[in-house]
Amino acid sequence: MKLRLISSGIILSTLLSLSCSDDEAQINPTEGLTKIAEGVATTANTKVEIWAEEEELFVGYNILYAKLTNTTTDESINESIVQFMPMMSMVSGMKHSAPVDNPASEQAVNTLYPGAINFIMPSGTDIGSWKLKVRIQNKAKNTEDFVELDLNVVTPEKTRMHSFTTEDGMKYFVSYHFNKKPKVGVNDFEVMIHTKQSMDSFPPVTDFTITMEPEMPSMGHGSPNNISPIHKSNGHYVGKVNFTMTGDWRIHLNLSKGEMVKELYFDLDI
Amino acid sequence: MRILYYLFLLIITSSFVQAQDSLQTRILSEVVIQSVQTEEDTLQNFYRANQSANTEDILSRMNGVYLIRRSAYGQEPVIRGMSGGQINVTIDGMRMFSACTDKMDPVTIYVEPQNLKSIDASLGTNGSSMGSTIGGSLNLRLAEPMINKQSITGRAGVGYQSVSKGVNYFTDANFSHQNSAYRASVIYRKSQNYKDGQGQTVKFSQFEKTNFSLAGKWGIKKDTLKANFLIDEGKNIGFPALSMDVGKARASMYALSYIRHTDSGWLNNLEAKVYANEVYHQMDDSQREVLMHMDMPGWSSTYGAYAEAKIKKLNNHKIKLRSDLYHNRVLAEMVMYASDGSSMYMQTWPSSYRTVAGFYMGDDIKVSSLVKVNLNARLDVSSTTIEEGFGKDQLEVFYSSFNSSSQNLTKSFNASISKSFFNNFILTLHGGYGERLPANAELFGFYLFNRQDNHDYLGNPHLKVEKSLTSDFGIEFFNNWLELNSTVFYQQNPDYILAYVDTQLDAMTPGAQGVKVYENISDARFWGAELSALVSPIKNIQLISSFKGTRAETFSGDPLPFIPAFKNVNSLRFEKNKFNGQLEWEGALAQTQVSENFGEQNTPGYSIFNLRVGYHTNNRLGKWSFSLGIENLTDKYYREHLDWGGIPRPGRNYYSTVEFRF
Repeated sequence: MKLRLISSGIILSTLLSLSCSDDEAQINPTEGLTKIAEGVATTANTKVEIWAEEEELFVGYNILYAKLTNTTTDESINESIVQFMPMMSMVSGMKHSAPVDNPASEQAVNTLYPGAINFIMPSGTDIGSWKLKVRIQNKAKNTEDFVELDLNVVTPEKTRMHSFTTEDGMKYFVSYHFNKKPKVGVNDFEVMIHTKQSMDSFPPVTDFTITMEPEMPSMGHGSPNNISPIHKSNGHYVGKVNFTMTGDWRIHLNLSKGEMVKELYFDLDI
Repeated sequence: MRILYYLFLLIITSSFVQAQDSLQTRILSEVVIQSVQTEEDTLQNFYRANQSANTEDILSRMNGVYLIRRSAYGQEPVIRGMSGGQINVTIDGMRMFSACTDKMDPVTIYVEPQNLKSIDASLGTNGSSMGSTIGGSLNLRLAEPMINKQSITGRAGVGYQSVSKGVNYFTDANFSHQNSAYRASVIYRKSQNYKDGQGQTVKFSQFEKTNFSLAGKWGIKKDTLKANFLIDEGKNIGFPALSMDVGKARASMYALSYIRHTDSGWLNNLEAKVYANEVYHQMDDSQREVLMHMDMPGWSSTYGAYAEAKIKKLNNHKIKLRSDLYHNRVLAEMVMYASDGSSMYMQTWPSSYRTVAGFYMGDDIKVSSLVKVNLNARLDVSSTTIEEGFGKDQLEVFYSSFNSSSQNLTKSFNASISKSFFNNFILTLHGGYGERLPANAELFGFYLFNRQDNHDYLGNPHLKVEKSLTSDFGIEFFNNWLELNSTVFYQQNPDYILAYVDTQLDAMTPGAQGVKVYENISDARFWGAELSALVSPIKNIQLISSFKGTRAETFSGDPLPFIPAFKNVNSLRFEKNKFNGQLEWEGALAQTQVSENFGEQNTPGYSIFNLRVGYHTNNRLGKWSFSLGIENLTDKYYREHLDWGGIPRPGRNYYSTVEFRF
């Protein structure tokens, strides 16, 4: 007991001394993020930066952050409508967009506008190129402008997005996302399902039923007490996935909608 | 720990130098608290006379004590069917905990017979002086340096066992000065795979170990300061009954104690000790043919202190007080190497720690010249914490809400009365209550594979303390050539901790049948008897006969696992001049009260004979002792019920030992 008291005393004093020195340095909102692209919307005098959670954009669900700066004052713009409009120009001449979650609020969160894009194919010289049009609109000043940015999207080592076409000709895109880096233990897990209505419309699908089962292929066992994702809003299905050790895991998903059933899986290295 | 080690060496060397320099001539007579020679001491001395006996051989012959055997080395003590967290095993009063999730390293292995002074055993809840317990306690007392004028004494010896081509080298030396003494010992043992009674080699039964100890003792006025250091290193220890072996195991112990011998004031013989010990244990399966190799290292470290004293005798009361504190921290990991893909990591004992502070008080009351009463009580306050992070995250998959930290108050009370009749009989009646904390593995263990029942075991952080109500009734008879001692006991353990299959869970270990989870069952019952006789009809002949048996079942009548069969050991010893001979007959009845849930099979009875002879002589160099013997004379193929995995015991073994004392 005494030992614990002493050690917690040491920890406390260390923390106190650390926090004192920390007070002077400001917390950097883009800490841990990677800047993917930037451009200037000249009419609105606004620099637009796009930051991502991972070092590269990949085929799958990417969380993206827009950061707006007034080019004259160099101050952050914390109130604006921000919209993402990705466009793929394929070598074949075809053009299409991708499923998008635009920043939900006109208020920046800690100077950033979080949104997401589910890139449904990679970019490459023999495939095509992705461009992201970011539209910004200031309601108060009644200004509107945009930037167009070039993006590089790679195919990840392990598939993070599946697409399939059903008998009725509907095409679906299934991707996943972890709010926090997945670890051993209980993890919040989200599955996103979108469909393709037209070349530039990929609306969310809200009426799938998902059953989920994680497995360790090299061991032949799974984990207990998982919660299969159920639809929450906007094509996002939320559940919990459990990992009992590090190593290679496979998350099996069984998707059904009416008569239609589709089985697929995602591999992860935990 | 390293710092402690250097500090210790520094103390030892500096005082050594100081002692040599000093010209003091004051003679300090060593104060030895003479206890009455109990029957247990007689037994121990009797079996220790056999120089090839190891600590486990001595334990296995003690009243109420049995051993779970998973290999030729590292057997786990059991008291009346209870083991692990149900009993307390201490070394010189120090708490020490295993680092192996598969119980390959009971702390008794660190005390070699050359370092062992004696073993104090208490059965049932009465063993609470060293810590709260329900099953009993074993305290292995370490040999001490002897202060006895300016002298150097010592011994060296070598032993050989034919059945395992095992060698055993030992040496110790005692350096004594006017008011200080030092003792050092080194023991090295190495064995190959042994052969069973059918001449078959039992694979993975080899072992190798080195044990080194250093102790110092200093007289300071009327007081004594003692320091102890012990290091034990085992390697390549095979476990035929398990799927893994030990690559390396290392334990170290450090202790410093101060003893105040006073007869003035109200406290007598105050002893205070601070200690630390550390165990590192590495299981691996690199020698085995398996689908997937794995490593399982484990760490356990304990820091503690205690103080004990006797209160100056008041009328007919003899009061003993003890307060103790320890802090233990454990972690065990498992890394599995898949043939393709990334390696897998988990914490089989998530990082956790426990702090326990306790107070004990015992009173021996001499009611009359014929009636004695003993009352004792103990209270422990404990806190057990699983560290935030990996280990706790793992367990949260199974238990969505549990506190990282839990506090417990464990209590124990005992009362016994003994009365003498006709100058020859002593009747003793004991009743007691005890509690014990769930062990780390029972609380937080994570997919620990049990080869015996082929299940993975999962801990349960919601376990309650296990309780026990014990009653013993003993009759002792003695005259000048016979001593008879018999005890019957009955014990009821409410909230008994036992593991049951959870069909909702899938096994993790390839090939395992399922997962068992620990829970508190409403209660379990234990009963049994011990009987021992010491007969010495003429001066040169001594016969010791002991019989012990335990039965145990759950409240619903299911037999509990790991309950030993009724066992009988008889030894006839003959001693004349420089020669001694001993014939032993050891046998057990069949055990058919088995727990199929735990993969137990019926064990047939057996009967074996051992023959030992010894001779000693003096020459101008010192005293020489020679011993020869044959164990399992008839080369019987047998096993005991607590031997895991149906692994047979060694067949006929010829051994010899040569020892030289100077």
